[in-house]
Amino acid sequence: MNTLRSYLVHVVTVGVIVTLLLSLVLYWARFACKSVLGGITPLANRRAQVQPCGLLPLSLETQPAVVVPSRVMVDVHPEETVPLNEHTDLWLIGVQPLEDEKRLYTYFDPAIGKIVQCKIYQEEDEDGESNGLWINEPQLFVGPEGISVIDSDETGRFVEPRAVFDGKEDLIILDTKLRRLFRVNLAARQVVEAPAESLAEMGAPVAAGRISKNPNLLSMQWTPPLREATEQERRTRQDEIVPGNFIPAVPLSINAGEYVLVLDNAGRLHKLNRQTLQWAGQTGYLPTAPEFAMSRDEMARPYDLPAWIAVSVSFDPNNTYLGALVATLSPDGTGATVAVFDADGEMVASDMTMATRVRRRFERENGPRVRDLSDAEADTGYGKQLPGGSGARAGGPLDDDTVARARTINTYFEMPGGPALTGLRYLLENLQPPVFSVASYFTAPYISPEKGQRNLLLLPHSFAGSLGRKYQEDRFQRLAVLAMTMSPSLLIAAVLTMAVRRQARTIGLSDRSIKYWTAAILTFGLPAFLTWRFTRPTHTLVTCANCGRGRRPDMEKCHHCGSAWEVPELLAPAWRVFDDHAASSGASVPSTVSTSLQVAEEQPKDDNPQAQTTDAQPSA
Amino acid sequence: MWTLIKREIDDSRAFFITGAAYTISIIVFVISNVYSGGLSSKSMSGWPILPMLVWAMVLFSGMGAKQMYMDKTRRISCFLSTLAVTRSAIFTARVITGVLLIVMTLLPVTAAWIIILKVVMPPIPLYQAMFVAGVRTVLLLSLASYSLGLLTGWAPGRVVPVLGGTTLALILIPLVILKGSGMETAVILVLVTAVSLIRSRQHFISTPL
Repeated sequence: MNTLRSYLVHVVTVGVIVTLLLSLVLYWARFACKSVLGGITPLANRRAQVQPCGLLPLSLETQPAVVVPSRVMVDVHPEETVPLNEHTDLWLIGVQPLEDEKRLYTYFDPAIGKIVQCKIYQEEDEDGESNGLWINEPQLFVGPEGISVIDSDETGRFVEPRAVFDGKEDLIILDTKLRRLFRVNLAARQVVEAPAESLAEMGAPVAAGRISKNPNLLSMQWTPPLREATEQERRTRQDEIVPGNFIPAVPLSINAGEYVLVLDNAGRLHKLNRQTLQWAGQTGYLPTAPEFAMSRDEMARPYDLPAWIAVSVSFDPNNTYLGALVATLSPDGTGATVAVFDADGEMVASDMTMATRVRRRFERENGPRVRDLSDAEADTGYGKQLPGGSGARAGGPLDDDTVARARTINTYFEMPGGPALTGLRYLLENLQPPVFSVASYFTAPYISPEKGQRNLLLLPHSFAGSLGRKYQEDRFQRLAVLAMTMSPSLLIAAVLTMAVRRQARTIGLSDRSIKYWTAAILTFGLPAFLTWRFTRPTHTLVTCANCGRGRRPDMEKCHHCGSAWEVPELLAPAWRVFDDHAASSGASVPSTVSTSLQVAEEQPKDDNPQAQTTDAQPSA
Repeated sequence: MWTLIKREIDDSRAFFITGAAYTISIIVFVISNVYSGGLSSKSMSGWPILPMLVWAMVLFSGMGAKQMYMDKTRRISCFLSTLAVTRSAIFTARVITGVLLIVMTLLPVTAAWIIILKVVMPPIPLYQAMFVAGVRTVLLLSLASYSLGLLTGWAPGRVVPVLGGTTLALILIPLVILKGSGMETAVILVLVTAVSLIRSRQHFISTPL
């Protein structure tokens, strides 16, 4: 029993280490494949853009001075990975430089549950040099119930606040746990809370104010209509000059209009009055981005996407809200979509990353997404006319056929080396334990993409995981797709199982042990096989006298043929040695021979039963 | 037990000296940086943190492998088992010595880091939380590397005991790059340490004299 328990501990401990280390090695191999694929993908296939963006009236986009119409553009950055430390976003809200190298830090202190604003600087000695000691001067403590200059219980506690600066003095604070939204004016020390009926109009809020998640994975660039800057403007409005010596022809601004955007957990964007936080309507949604294996033009949930950005665009003179620009990255991080929503929340233009041949076909049928509006066709047949007929003709939403063909697999398969790298990645995924592939398939929709990208065992972004997200309706279809996706993994497991069974039989493992190992290798695949190689019992086999195959010396019977050991019986031989000289002393032996050997021929031939038994051993 | 630990320390004094040299070299490196170019978060971003980590893990896994390999080749535990000492006690003393090396090597470095961060980083909870998580991860990674060294040090042959532990530790280090210093990493490292120690102990105490 002790031996069995000891062997079990041996197998389990080695199995855990092998599984973890092999998963690490496989992860980096897959990562290398993905990075190379991302690196060789041309920028054109990683970019989605719309020009003109469709939010401005045609008269503004086609002014004689305008050289470049408005444009919104998103780029996927496959070389980037999801940031590791979530505390950075949650806890550090902003740093503002002050005079004398002092800085004003605004951060969340989880110990006291408040957002703290502190003046922090290093103490200086008499010579004016820093002596390395930090001085921390708290200025304000912000809680859900108010603001104070000291840490007071009366101001309440935040639990999980997500705060962003909205201008220099204002904070938009969304506590996702408390489900409360605030606008805080730090200068006036005012706290405005969103009315409960405003929040009742939406699902659980996910982000408010600056709607952005992992901007290093997906970048958005937006430019208003541009004209050439005059010499005087180059000197006086340097911060507005864009490369090429252009300057905005129309005073537009982002995230500064009359509304604050709020994203709810269903992926819908809402606009709230900036001052009162009253709900003012829905203004768009997060569109689905093309994935490796599929592309669906539906609304995506924020939880399902690794990166998203949404900005509001307003017309500067009177801060009129024009609409929202929204970009999303697909769960597997391979494709992106950009969409433009007008003030009423209707999508007026969209584009997504797609393969070159898909883009060519689309543009042949629908015209390009990027137009300079320099010719007459700008006003004819290009996309859809905006409501009211006052807006510039934008590209309009993509048609279903294009969306269906915008899968990033098409991009990878048209690049040199793309199919080989994709195949290698698929093979590496199939070296994972089959049980984890099955788990990835079924749990993919429930694992957040950020965590999924760094997972070792459950791989929601694997081929199995992607298909698991796609096929969720029909149970039999799901199982069939799963079996097809995992077929290489199952094949590898079957081959390894056969090898282990053969080896186990050779060394004489019991049928029960062979069954356990078979189940383990079918479940855990390569890690279980490596565990078997490291932990299998070692026996020096001897040749079976009956069947001629190796048999274990510690077993009663041969594990191949079942024959017992043939122990040679130690019987006296039939022959004798006589010493003639000694015998002669008895005077009964002839004296002509001094010493001789005399075999007792008179013994019967069947005197040695062992020899006869051996000869007569049945071959069975 | 105390005698056993002293004996283990005496046997592994080369590793303790190397650990001390490693610690001193890091502190000298930090001080020289402070005096040459000042201390700032910008200058610290160029410090070779990863090579420092790799050398520390090589040291700790080498210590574990050496303890077991020397025992196997010189049959030290076989001899000690003839006295009033069990192999379980020998193994415990060995692990305590390994942990002692890790603590003695990392403690001064951690103290130096605390001083540096107090000088460089503003006193806000974010940086303190990141530092605590970083120290916890390095400590657990060190324990895991040492345990893997113990595990491979008893293996037959010469190549696996000498290089196996270091190789496995080097495979494990990218886990920190992959998953950061969060609780998930801590759980994985604790798991690796636990199973390695269980297997090493079981193998060690069940080996015939």
